[in-house]
Parts: sequence; structure tokens; C-alpha cells
Amino acid sequence: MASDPIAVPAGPAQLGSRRGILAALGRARRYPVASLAALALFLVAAAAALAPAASPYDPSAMATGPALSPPGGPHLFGTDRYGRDVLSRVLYGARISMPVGLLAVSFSAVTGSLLGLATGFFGGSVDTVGSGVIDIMLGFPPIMLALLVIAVLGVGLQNVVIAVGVGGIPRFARIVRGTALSIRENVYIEAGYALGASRARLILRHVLPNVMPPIIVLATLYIGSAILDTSSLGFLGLGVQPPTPEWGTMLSEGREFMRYAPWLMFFPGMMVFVTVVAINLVGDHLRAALDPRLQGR
Amino acid sequence: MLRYLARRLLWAVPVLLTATTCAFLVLHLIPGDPVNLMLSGRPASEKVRANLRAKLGLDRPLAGQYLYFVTHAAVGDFGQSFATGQPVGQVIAQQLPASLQLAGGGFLIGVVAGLLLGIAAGFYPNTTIDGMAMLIALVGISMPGYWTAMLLIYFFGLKLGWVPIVGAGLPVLILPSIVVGSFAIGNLARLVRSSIIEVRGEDYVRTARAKGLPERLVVLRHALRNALFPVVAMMGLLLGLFVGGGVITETVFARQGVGALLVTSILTKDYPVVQALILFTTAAYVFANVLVDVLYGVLDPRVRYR
Repeated sequence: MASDPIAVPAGPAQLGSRRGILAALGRARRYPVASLAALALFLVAAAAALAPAASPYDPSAMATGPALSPPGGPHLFGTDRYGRDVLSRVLYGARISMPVGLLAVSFSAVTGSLLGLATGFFGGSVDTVGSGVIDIMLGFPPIMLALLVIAVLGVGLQNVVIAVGVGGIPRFARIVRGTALSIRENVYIEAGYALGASRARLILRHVLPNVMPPIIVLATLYIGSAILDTSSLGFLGLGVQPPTPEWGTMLSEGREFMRYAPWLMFFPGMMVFVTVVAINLVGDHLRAALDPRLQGR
Repeated sequence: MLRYLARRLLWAVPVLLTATTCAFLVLHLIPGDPVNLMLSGRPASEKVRANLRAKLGLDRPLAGQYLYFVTHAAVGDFGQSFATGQPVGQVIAQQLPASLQLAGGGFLIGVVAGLLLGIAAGFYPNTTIDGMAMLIALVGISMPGYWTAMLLIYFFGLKLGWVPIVGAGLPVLILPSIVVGSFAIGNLARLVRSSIIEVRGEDYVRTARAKGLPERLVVLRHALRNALFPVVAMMGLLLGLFVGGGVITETVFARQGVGALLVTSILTKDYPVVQALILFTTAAYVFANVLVDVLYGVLDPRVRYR
């Protein structure tokens, strides 16, 4: 396969070159949907990063124009009841939803993976107790775990991350445990033991790298639902609090004016939808690429 | 079969115990004195406070309080709502019928639409039909439920005026049921599709075809029947989606219901109601899952002996 050195896929170092770009475009043409989704995702990320420069107004400045003015003119997405610019608020909203979604998933992935690694690798009583915890957590309806966290910790940005993340822990733990169980039986782990490697070293250097692919796939699939959950909590008034421009919170504010100012609910909802669709498409593509069994399906 | 049933029921015990403990701890983990919450800022003499404390059982040691909570919860006694003073059981019972109607409507729409889409996509993979069905599934998974609800209200309720959005009766249930159902459609359609594709490659399907069975019978009697096992297994998970869907849908449509009650109780810090709802919802979810597992065992004898 690698007999011809030119046929080696373009690595990061080549990306800047003309051939690298052409190769990337060629690959993009083969997967048009996934490429489009990746582009959309890039644009949302860019909106988050460049919000201060890209937004025409301060997102919390009131009376930037007449209240509830429809989209068009100086306010491309219209204004809300306080005369705040909806476009600016939507752009700034990406700075909340994306990081909160990512943080929540990181929280579930790290905690869940640790639990899964410990139960899968050590086995015995650690596995019995750990698997019990995983099963019990899976026994709760996911939203209940989130609401339980909010009920105890109260509303606010930081608590939303924990609330949204908690539901994901058992899902990561279960997958990692299963993978770790099978990896533990490999000869190279036995060899590691024979060479006198510590358990920590075995887990970190030999088991962890092998359980990474399923963790990455699950994480990409989970980010979309984490962003949905974050915005849902915001919508219910249990998440990020106004006047912070979070998409779910904006939608909840726009609900009262649905009849007269539908743009207040249209644009934030569209942003959540586009972001989550893009993430799900990229995630599906990644899963298909990493899991050969899914190919051709 | 009895052994299997017993094993599944036994599994429910630790979950329910954890739920009970969580519900109990909610009132103790929140910052501040529950008595203050009950008084909601009204000034009160030390005697009134002591009485309230005794009434809530807070003057007992923690272990005693826990025992009191568990024994009373076991018979459905969660005390009185901080907000209305009504017994909590009564508050929940008032909201239950509306939620059950919504869950029923959502289940019907979600399962029928999800199955149809999944079957269509599974039997014609990599065709336009498949593409369309999977597109709908993707939209179903990616649409925020509250946004679906608001768009439906705006277009079909306000602009076109086709369906009522307030009032009573079956027509009012249409839009909320679609929203709750939409939580399930995408997941179900994808699962059914991949399950059918897998089953179609099985030897027994090839055998059925080889012995000259008409394609219709191959599909109905052999492929579909086996493809639907994972779907049955997923029904319990769907219930979780309906719980979440109910919370959001009831809030958007300003309907009565357990989900809306839960959100209001958390926001108004009406902890006895929150405690009861945590337990109630989890118990319903756990038993539905046990029921699904048992049903699965009945349908597929291999499961029982695992």
C-alpha cells in the first residue's frame, strides 16, 4: 500500500502546499455532506471566536434601535423587546453554547472513562461496585439526573455543565469498561506485567490509547445532545440566566412575542438546529470512518 | 421465566434505594434552612419555627429522618407542598392524567412514524427513500424540542389556524403529541433501519427466499419480526425521552402535567414536590424498563438464559 511514497495521504505539514489543498478538496468532494457540515461547524466556531469583532452591536446594549423591529435595515435579525440587536446576541450565544457543550462532554468523558477504565481493568470487587454505580445511573431518566443536579446546586452556568455532563457519565463508562475488558486480555498487557510495569503505567500507556477511538466517537455524538440539553435547560429557566445571550434563554424570552415578533424565536432556534445537525453529521461520518463494520451502511 | 423476572425486579431495588436517598438528600444538600424556604421570607417567631421543624421532622437525627422519609415515601406520603399546603400526593395526582395523555399521544406518533421510516429505509438502503427517511431522522434528532413546538404553534396554530393550541379535547393534543413523538422518531428510525439491514443478510432470510417464499412473506414473517427485537429493547429508553419531552412540551404549550410541575417546583423551591417527583418518575422509568425486559424475554427465549 505504502510502496509508492507519493500515495501517502497528505499530513498536516503538507496541508499548506498546493497539492495538500487539492487533496483536501478532493476528499471533500467525496464526502460532500460531511464537508458541508464541517464548514457549518467551522462558521459557528468562527462566530463564537470573532463575536466581539463581528457583531454590529453590544449584545446587552438596550435601545440600539426601536424595540421589536423586524429583520432588515441596520438590524439584520431584528431587535428584541428591549431594542437589543438579535444578530449580535445570536453571535455571542455561540460563545456560551459551544463551550458549555464541550465542557459538559469533557466532564462526562473524563469521569466516565476513569470509571470505565477502573472497572474494566481491575475487575473483581472494583468492577462489581463500579458496574453497580453505572447500572444505577443508567436507571435514571437522563433529564432527571440533570434536574436533580440543578435542584441541589441551583441555576447558573457552572452548574449547567455538571447537570448536562452527569447524564453522560454512565454511557462513557459502559463503553470504556467493555473495551478495557477485552484489551486487558491482550498479550502486550501480560508482557507489560512481566516487565514489571506499574498498573498506572499499563493503564495510561497501553489501555487508554486503545480505548480512545470509541471515546472520541461517543464524544462527538454526545456534543450535539449536550448543546441541546444546555439550551433546553436555558429555555426552562433552569440554565444560563438572562440577560446572558444564551440561545435557549433567548428562545424562552422570544416565546411571549411569538405572534408579533417571530424572528425572536426563529434565529436562536435556527442556530441551535444548524449547530447540532452539523455536529451529528460530522459525528456520524467519524463513526463510519472509525468503525469498519458500518461501512457501506 | 420466574427466575428471570425475579432477577430483573431485584435489579430495581438498588436503583430505587438510590433514588430515595437522592430525593431525601435534596432537602439537606441545598444551602440554607428548609424552614426558611417554607416560610418563604415571612418573619416568624422561634416557636413557630420550632413547630415547623418538628412538623418536617427536622428535629430528629439524620438517620431517623431518613427512616421517617423512606417509610412514609413507601406509602406515598411526602408531606405537604410548600407552595399550596396541599398533600404532595394530591398535587401530583391532579397533574398525572394530562401527562399520561401526552405520553400516550407522543408514543403513538413517535413509534408509528419511527417504525415506518426505519422500515422504508431498511428495505431500500442507499436509495432516495432511504436518504429522505434518514434526513427526517437526522432533523428529528437535531431539532430542539421546544423549537419544534414553537414552530408548530406559530405555523399551524397562529398562522394557518388548522389546530387549536388552547382548550380541551383531542385536537389540542395533536401538536404536543407530535413534539413528544419527535423525540423518538429519529432514534427509532435509525435503529430499525440498521437492524433490518443486518437481519436481511442473515442465513434464515436467504433460506426463506431459497425455498421460494414470496418476498412479502420473507419480509413480514422472517426479516421484520427479528428486526424488531432491538426496537422492543429500546422502548424503555424511549420512555426516558418521553419524560424529558414531557417536561419541555408541557412548558412550551403551557399545559398541565407532571413535567411542568417539576420545573415549577424546582424554580419555586417547593422541595417536597421535587422529592416526590424524582422518586415517582424514576420508579415509573425503572418499572417500565423491567416490563420491557420481561417482554423481551417472552419474545426472544435466548435472552432469558443469558
